[in-house]
Amino acid sequence: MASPDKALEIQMQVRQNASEMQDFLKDLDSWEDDIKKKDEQLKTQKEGHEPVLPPIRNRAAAKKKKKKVKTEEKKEETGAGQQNGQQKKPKRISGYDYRSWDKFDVDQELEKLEDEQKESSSEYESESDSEKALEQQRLMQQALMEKDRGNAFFKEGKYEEAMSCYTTGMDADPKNAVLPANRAMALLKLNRYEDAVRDCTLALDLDPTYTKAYHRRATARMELNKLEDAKRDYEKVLSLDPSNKQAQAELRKIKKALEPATKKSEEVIEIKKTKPQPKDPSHVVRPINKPVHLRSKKPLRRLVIEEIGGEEDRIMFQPSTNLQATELPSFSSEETAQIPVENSEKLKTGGEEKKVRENLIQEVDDSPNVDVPQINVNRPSNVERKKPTSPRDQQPVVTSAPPAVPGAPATALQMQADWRRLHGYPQLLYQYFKQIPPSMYVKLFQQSLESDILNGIMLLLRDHYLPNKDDVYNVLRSMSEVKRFNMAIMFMSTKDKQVVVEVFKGLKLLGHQSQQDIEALCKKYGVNV
Amino acid sequence: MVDKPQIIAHVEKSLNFTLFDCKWIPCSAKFVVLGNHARGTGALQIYEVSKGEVKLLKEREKTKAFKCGTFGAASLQQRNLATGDFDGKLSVWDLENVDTPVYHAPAHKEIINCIDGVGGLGIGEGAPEIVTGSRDGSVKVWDPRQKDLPVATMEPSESEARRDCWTVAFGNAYSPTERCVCAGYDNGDIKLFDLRNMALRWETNVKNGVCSVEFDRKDIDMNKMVATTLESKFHVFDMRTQHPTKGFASLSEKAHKSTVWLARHLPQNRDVFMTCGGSGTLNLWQYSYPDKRVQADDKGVDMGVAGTVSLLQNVTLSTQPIAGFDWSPDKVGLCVCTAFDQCLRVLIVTKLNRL
Repeated sequence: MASPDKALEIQMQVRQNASEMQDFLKDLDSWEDDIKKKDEQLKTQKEGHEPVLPPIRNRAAAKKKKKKVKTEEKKEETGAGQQNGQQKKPKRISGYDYRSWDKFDVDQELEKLEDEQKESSSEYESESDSEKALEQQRLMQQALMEKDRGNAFFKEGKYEEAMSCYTTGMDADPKNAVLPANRAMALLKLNRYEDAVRDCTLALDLDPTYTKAYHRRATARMELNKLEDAKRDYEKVLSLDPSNKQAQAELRKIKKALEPATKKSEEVIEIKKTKPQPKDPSHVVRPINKPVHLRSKKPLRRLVIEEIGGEEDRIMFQPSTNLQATELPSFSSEETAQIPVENSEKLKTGGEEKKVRENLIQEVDDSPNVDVPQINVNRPSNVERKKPTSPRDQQPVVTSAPPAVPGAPATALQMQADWRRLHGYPQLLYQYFKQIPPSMYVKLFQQSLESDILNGIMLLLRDHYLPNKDDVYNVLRSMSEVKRFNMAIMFMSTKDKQVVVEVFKGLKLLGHQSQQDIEALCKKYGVNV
Repeated sequence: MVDKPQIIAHVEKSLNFTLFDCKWIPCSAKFVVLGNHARGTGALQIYEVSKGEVKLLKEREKTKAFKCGTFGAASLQQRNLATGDFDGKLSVWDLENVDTPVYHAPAHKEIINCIDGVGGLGIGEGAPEIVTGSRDGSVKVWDPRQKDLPVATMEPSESEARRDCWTVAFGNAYSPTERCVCAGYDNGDIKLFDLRNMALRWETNVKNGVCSVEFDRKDIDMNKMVATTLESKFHVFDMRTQHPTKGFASLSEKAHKSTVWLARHLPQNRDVFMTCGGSGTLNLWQYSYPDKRVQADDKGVDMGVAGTVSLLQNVTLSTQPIAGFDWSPDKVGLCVCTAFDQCLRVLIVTKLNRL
């Protein structure tokens, strides 16, 4: 059948094509190498022999016309030429000879050039070189003029005109590195930073040692926020000119700007932690006075005041808040000193209020979400505390939903605030309180154990700890070691005392502790069980 | 048949400026790309083909956009590129030092549309010369030894309307003195100038603007010439026999369904040429000569006979016109093309040595 054969044929052809392609490509590679060698050879091989070229087409016609003119001119020149024969051919002024360039008269030279063009064609080939050189030098001169004009415009602040002058100058003398660099400066002033970078690169292509160009390019790159590139350019400036103060200053700035972004989050916290708490011995904490528009706008919450008979306590303990305030810095600094390591691990504790999170986010900056061993945080995150966020600033809880359990507090103030907040939710309060290790009590309360808190704790112990068989004893013991504990005990009402008794009864039932311990504790609490 | 030459895109590179022309640097694996940045400045880039990709070797930005370039008038050692730009300036560049041109002439008042060179690269005889055609309607021939002034100018007289010259080509350069320039204009005129006699040798009109003319070989007695036009047509002229009234014999062919932008003959085989279309297509053609190239007409005067052209292969590379195409003079089948979609492509055409 025709079709299977056809199919086979086509298949064969396709395969053949593929293999041919492969061959071609291999061949191409070897050809590339060969041709590159040949290329190199040609480059190095200078023109061995100049082929004798026929004369320029149509030159003969031009010759006849101009011959008459030429012969006349030559007669004149030979007369004068003998006197100053050296000046027959214009003297070439070197590009660096600025003084003679100042005296250079462009128009005169142009006229001379035109006269020379009318001379005989046989001199053309040799003259064309010198004319070329003259032409080049004329262009260079023009470029310098344009540069000066551009500089004048620049000083007057006319950056667009300056730029166009520099452009014409660049046209005239593309080898001058100063012109593109100056143009870059004008572009910088016009805020065209991308163009400025390009012009600086142009200038540097022409002259790799041009420090100003590096400097300007670095400035432009900084504006474009390409800090790494800018840094490199400044370093180049300093390598060429170590005494350049501006470059040094800018380099320092860049290094500072680059560093924090790369450091880890903990270190950021470290830095930020210690910052707002200068270790000045006066322990002065400034009161926070927020202007009206920055204060918390949440509606004031009506708190039901439960009179437990501790009104005097509250009044009494009010002045202590001042003490608390004053002691806060030392306390906190101790905290920081003692718990830096652990704190550094626990940055974010879940379930905290949004504001705290925001603070954290602010401080932690670019650091990615650190995978930190999470919660069961026993140590508080000092972060939030370090910012002058007093309990006042922490927004009052929306009463509609139960609040989240905050982390363990670091100060009594914190504790009080949390306590008050969780007042209506004993379960949460229990959880919250459980977070605080008993050994912390002394430090936590210091001078500021309030009796209502103590009562609250007792209630917790009775209602939650005992049923859950938690460690009541340690709590009781540590509480008893808190300062002013005795005072608080004294101010307990009979109802409260009743609660304490029940706690102890439960403790006894648990039977974890020895009889003596319990009794000792009872004494401290002033109850008889 | 599947036995046809295959056109395969070997490397494709997308650039960020408009590309107008590309030319292989003779005796190397490099090519030059000329174009126009969006900001109006000229782009000149040199690439090298190596191991399946193109590497950018050098690039320069010049004040004016480049339209066209040629190596035709360069010596093999120096391989200087002659370019025409949008300002009408002709410059010859030494690619080792692209910052200043080696030769510079304010050639035309308007954009130089096309440029060609002859006499260099060891091809042809005679002095190296460059010809440029411009929108101002004039065609000028330049000799790098002569500053500022063209060697010859062909332009319409004052009274006549000036038509844009879209394409120029050198041909018939088989002796040091003999040379021809063929120019195509936007109204369909094709004019053949003889530089030895400094006279118009032949002219015709093909009804549609002529985008490109090319002789199959510059350095031999005129053999064939391809002229491509708008409206998807191209003509192949047999240049061996000129009839006094009828001129040269020709065949015309429709292709590409769009403007045929270029026709380029394969340097290694003068009967194979590639046409590039405005729809981004490439067609590979082969010309076959008739049995008798010359026949006598009814008056007994010799006139030429056109042959036939057959399509070997076609491929669509892009959606934009392919405006630049060049065969590598050193490797059969290797070519580079540029299109208005800002892509340059290196192509491989296989099986050309079997034609």
